[in-house]
Amino acid sequence: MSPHENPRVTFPDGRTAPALGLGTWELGDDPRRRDDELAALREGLDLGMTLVDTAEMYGHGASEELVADAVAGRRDEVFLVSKVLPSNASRRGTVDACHASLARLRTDRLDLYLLHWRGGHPLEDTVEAMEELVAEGAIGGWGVSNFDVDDLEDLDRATGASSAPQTDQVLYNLVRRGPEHDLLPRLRESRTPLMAYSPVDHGELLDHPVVVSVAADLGVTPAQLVVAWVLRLAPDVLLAVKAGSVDHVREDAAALSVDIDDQAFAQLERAFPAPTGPVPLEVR
Amino acid sequence: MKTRTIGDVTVSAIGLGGMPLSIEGRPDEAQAIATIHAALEQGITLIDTADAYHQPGTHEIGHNESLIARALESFHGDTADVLVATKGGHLRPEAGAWAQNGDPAYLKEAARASAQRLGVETIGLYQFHRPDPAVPYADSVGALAELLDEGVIRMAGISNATVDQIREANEVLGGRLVSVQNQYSPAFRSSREELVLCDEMGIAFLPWSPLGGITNAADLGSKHAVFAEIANARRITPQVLTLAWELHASELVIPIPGSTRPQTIMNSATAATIKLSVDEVQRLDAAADAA
Repeated sequence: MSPHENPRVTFPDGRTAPALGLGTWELGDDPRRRDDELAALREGLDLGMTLVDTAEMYGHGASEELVADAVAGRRDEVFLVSKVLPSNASRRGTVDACHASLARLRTDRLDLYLLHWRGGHPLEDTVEAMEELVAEGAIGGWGVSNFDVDDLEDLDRATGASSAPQTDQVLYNLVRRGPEHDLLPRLRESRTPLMAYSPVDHGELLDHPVVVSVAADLGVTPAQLVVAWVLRLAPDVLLAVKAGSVDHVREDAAALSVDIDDQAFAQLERAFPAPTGPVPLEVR
Repeated sequence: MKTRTIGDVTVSAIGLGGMPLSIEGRPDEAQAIATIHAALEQGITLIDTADAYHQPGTHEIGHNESLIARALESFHGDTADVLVATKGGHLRPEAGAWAQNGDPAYLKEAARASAQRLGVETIGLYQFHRPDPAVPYADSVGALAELLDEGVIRMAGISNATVDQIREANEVLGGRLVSVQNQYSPAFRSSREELVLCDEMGIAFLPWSPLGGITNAADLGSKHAVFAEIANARRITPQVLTLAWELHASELVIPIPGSTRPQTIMNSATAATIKLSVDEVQRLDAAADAA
């Protein structure tokens, strides 16, 4: 199976990553599933999904340890993203948490380090810590996750012009189109890609009658359709799909070759209309 | 976060069970607080506790209540909408033993001590933890009626109760029973009767240990294999599917899964947004009934 073409997405600092990557939410938690998950991650890397998204929260560190095994010996192929828990995101705590993540990942650097969601520590402190981590080479850049437009404004005020996030990772899919109204335009202004998660939502999209019928017309699976639908916005978006099994990863990778024609887009647009006003950001 | 109702209070459809943050095997304080904060940040507004959630012995009664009070105190956001539901009537004098005390005078004193630990004048929801065979049920529940009248507690609930006890408690409380907390999960379906009665009476039903039987759902030949199958098709975990399945049993069901780390409660919270099809619910019901 030859890898499907995975478009490159450019971050504000000029670095690039593949648009379709691997997510590790809930991975590493169940020791009995570990072999399957490891195989799924390796399969994804082989298929060119070399952006790997993890977090210290996932599996309470177990997800990062699983990723360490998956990327062992091929770290340089991978664009590695992890996240700090808001409760750890103090000036000092962010730095410590990052080093703990690096140890679990058995690497000396992260390509991106994100604040997982907005918590109680002042944004100034978190960003200062992020800048320190960039300066020492522990991370290539920093970003945020689950930040809505007003959070980004607060972040701007906290950081001034000197520093800006490289991405905002948010819940975005066919049934959660809120970001299209205000968040995506705002990110586009600063040429900051949006990183989407949960393309299948909670699985409801996979048996939604319109998704099922449009997918059948195109000769693809429902999962491939909803993944391809998010990727239509590349290179303004990246997407991490959960690497739960080899089958899911293969199925999702093939979404890179799916061509959604105008008629199919129109059908999806009718069933899942774009927002006409602001919609508060949802978190999975 | 989707919401449901206990009495006249709106709460998140998934609550946080506090027990594992305080009993044997509990995490350190920092992790416990981080877990509670993650729940609050996720929009969870119901936290279930009890004075008996502590390590065995008498030296740290109310550990979990004090912990939750500290977590709420140190939280950066608004906690005015958070309902802390505690319980009295259970004791953990030594390892492996859970004793009961349903004496009315004791319960009234215990409720006041709980209020003090929680740092509140009035407890939002107070539940009689478990029937005490040595004390008539009506007497124990009568203490809750008095606590309501005296303003020590705002709402009254019961736990580990039978159908008859639910009816009796509601009578003793003059129709003011707002919640029943029983064990309920795919592996523990015997309180289905109480769930149905609560649904009929308009009383909130809080399943405790809601994930029983699910850890091994993916094993070959598991009685709960259907949970693993449907979860895989939907690309969610069997745990999240199980909570969603419980939420589909009645609008009055509010599961309170325990958690010792942020990820677990964040996963659990996602169950509130899941819509299952009639067919999925029927298949899951059948699997749970057969088990």
